Amino acid sequence: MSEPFAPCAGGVRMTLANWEVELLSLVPALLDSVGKYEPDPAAVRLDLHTYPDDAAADAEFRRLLANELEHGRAADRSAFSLTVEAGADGVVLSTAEAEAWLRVLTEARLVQSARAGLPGGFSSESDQALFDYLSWLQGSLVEILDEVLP
Amino acid sequence: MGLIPARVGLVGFAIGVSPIRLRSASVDCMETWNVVVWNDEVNLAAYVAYVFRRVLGMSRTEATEAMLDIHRRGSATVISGTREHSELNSFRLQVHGLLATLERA
Repeated sequence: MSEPFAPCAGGVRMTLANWEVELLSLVPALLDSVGKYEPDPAAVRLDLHTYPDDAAADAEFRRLLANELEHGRAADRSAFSLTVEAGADGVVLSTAEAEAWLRVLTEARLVQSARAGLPGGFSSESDQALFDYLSWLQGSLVEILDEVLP
Repeated sequence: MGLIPARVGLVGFAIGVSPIRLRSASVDCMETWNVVVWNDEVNLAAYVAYVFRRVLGMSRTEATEAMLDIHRRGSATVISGTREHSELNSFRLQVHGLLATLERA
C-alpha cells in the first residue's frame, strides 16, 4: 500500500487508491446507523460520560452538551464526505480537515469495536478488514500531523 | 450539582470547529477537579498522545508519558483545574473519542 498522506504547504496531501475510496465510502453509513436501533453499544460508547459517581451531574452535563457534540460530529462527517472522493485524484486537506478525518476515523473504529465487543471479535472478515484499514489509515495520518504540529 | 450556568465560558469545541458556550449553576472556584482519562482497547497510542498535545497543550514527551501512564495503570489524571475548566477539558477529550471523566482532587 502506498502512503496515503504526506505533509505539504497548507496541510496534508492525501492520495487514495480507488479501492480505498470505495472502502471509506462505507464510513458515513456506519456512523449514521448509530442509535438507530436499541440497544446499540456504539451509541453508549459515543455518548458523554463525565461523572461516573454522580448520575444527576452526568445527565445534566450530557443535556447541556449533547447538541454541541452532535453538531461537531456532523461538521466532521461533512468535511470527511466532501474530501474523500477527491482523494482518488489527490487532494490537500487543511489541518482542520485532517483533524476532522482523525475524529471520523476514531468514531468509526469505536462504533465497530463497541458493536463487536472487543477488537478482534468481528463477526465478518469484511468488518475486520475495514477496522484494520481504518486503524492503519489513522496511524498514518497521526504520524504526519504529529510531525506538522509545532 | 455544579455544572456551569452562572458564568459563561467560551470554548473551542474541537479542533477547527466553532466555539461553544457552557453555563454553570454554581461554580466553586476554589475546588480542584481532576480530568481522568481511562485506558481503552481501541484508541491508538499515537492518537491519544496527539490529542493530549493538541487539546491540552502538552509537549510530545509529556503526552507520551501520560499515554503510557494510562496504559500501564488503567487510568491517570491528565490535567486538573477548576470544575469549569475541567468540564471543558473533559468534553474536548471526549469529542476526540477518549474516555475522560471528572473527580474531585
